[in-house]
Amino acid sequence: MENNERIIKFSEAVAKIKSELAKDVVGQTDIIDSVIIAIVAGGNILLEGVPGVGKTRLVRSLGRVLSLPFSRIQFTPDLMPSDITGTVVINKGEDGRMTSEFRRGPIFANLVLADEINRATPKTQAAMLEVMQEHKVTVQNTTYPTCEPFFVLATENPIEQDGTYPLPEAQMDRFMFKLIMKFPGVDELTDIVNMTQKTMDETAEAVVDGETILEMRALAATVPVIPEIMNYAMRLVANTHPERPESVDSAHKYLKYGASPRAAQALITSAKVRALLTGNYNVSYEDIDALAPAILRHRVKINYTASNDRLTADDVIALLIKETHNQR
Amino acid sequence: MCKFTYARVKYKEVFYIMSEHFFKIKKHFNRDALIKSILFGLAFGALVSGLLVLILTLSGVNFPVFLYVLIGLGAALAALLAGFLAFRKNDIATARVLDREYALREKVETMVVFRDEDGEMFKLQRADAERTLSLLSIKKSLMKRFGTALAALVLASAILLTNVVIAVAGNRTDDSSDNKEESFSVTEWQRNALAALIEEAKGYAINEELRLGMVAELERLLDAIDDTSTRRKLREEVVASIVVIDLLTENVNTYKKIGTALGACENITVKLLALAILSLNGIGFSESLAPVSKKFEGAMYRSEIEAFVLGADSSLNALTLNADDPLLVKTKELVFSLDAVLKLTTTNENVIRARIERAFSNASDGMGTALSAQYENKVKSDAVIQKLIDIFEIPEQDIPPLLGDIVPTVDVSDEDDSSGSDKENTGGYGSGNNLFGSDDVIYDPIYKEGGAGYVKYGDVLADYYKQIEDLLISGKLDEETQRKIINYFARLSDGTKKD
Repeated sequence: MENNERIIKFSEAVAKIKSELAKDVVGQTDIIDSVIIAIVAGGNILLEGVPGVGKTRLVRSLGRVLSLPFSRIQFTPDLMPSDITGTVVINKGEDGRMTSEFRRGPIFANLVLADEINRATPKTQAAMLEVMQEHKVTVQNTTYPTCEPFFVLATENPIEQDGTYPLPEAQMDRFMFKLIMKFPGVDELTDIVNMTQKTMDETAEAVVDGETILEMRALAATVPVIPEIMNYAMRLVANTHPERPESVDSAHKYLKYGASPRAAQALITSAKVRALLTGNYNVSYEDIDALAPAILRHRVKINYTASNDRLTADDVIALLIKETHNQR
Repeated sequence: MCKFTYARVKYKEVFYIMSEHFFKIKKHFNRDALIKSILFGLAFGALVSGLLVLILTLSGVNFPVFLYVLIGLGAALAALLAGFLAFRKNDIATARVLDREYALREKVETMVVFRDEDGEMFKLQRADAERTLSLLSIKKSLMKRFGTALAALVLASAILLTNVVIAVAGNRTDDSSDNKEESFSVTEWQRNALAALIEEAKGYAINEELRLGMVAELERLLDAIDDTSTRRKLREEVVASIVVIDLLTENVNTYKKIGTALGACENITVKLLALAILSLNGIGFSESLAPVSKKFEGAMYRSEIEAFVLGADSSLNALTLNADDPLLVKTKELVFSLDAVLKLTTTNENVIRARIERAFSNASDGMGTALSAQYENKVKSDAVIQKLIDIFEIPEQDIPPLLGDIVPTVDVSDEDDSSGSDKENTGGYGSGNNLFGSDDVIYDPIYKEGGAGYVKYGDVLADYYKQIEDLLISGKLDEETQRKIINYFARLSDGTKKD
């Protein structure tokens, strides 16, 4: 297929996904764009928001739209790793012979919603690590690959901090984006209520499949990035490290530690997808700047100075972007 | 053409064919860069010329106009080249300007950077960028494109004009008197007057060396003034002659050297002798010598003579003058004569007094004659100088201080001096810090503005003396009247009042 046709198919797929999701999810257009970017780029998302803003609904609708098997894992403190990955069970056959069989866990789906992931114990959280990174599960020395495309959308509830286990940096780093779903506005709330008065069921229909997602991913990988923008993205990530003398002033002043090289990979990969999403055939500075907050906010740690100055991680990232531009 | 060059040329052609619009825009930018460079270059050239005009002209350095123009053009050309190199944009720079100014999200720069790539996405990207460029309108107003350069040119031109005006105005002020000089030429009258002065000087009864030197200098001046074309040059020639004549007179007249040497002596009587010599009063010299001879009238005359001879001898021997100088000879004779008095074996006071009197009488005649001759030298020298000033209208400020106007002073104040009630008058006359006459008050009918009034005699003596001097030099008085006047002022010269 000519690239031109692939571009057209890409644009059509995105448009369809958005229009179908809009049937079930009111507003949250930025979140939807970011979710699409993450799926196409092959990344996982950490979604933060108060209960009832539509996190689970979004992922369920997404599964329907993408024609992808979807599973939901509700994390609780008593959840065991085997509850996620699956376990080996002993079966007695009709002939009376005992056989073992691996029963796959809910992780073996294309789309996995890990609800309230910070409620599970570190041991259980660690079980997610291998799957999210490797896209495979190893049980009793046997490796079971997950489905492709594989995408984890985890949620965190910021309110219920009692009885939670903060996600370790290693696991946080495996999420391409951290998105914050804000409480909807009054108009959006009205639309939500009106919609759910009619029906609570998701009405979005399947418009693409997994193969299409993989084709979109392959196309996005070919989007060119000029060396200056590549350099800018690398400097932006490097500037999050206060221990570097060359880092910008805001890093020295407000950050405790910075982002890993995965952040740099995520920036470029997702920027290519965003470029295509916005009708461009090349990555621009605007793409990097638009994606930087979602990619960096969970990978950097602000210090007490920032807290005293009432600055959030997003505020500090905005300063870093400005100062990195000035370095050009 | 070698393969490589051919490939490069072909590649560039291909690229620019693909990016026709980009090529057009780049040409447009470079055309603007050239125009901007020309404007800035002209501005720089005007600024350099203007500054040069101002600095050099006010420093008195005159360049021909074409040189300023040439330097300005050179500076303009250099600035134009530098400006074009700075303003001209290559492909990447052009792309960045377009992306930034028209918010193209790095489309054009990506197109330029990856123009060598063959991938499908690159081709799509290039086509998309080219499409965007085809819809772009880069036309801007002249002010937006060249506003800064035009402003620089206007400012530099204003500076150039201002500097030229200042320089021309400054030159006009400086040359205002020179303009008179430019048109000046020595008149026939002046030439004749100088010739007459030469003839007059030839007949002066003054020191031969001085007379010959004076005449030679005047003749040189007569030759020189024909070559002068400006007033300033003429003044310089005349002032030079004045200085030469003044110097000749000082070299010939020895009274100052002898008076200064004697005045440096500690002995008060020697100082009084110095004062008498420095009065340059040949005719009334006996009066000037009186205070000296008085010193030997007392009972301690022997010690006085001893001290006088010792001091005077020492001072005179230190002089490096011609041994035949008449004043020096006669002064030494006086000293010798007084020394001889000490060697007399007689104790007859009358004889001794008579010898002393004779010594002073001889000195009065001899030294008086020598001083008269030197006085005549000075008077004639002053007369010639004054005539030169008058003939060629030399302003007073152009005349340097002359040696002849400087009269050494001698401090003869002595606590043991019992010469009477004239202690408050220190004597002497001259210029500068010296006292003129006494502090007595006299009635002057015309001195003060608005009419008569009482003035200190010391305040008007110099003026009186000047008038008398002019009268004496004018030759309008007969010899006897001249002597009376000279004697009168000689009495005042030592600060003593006599009836």
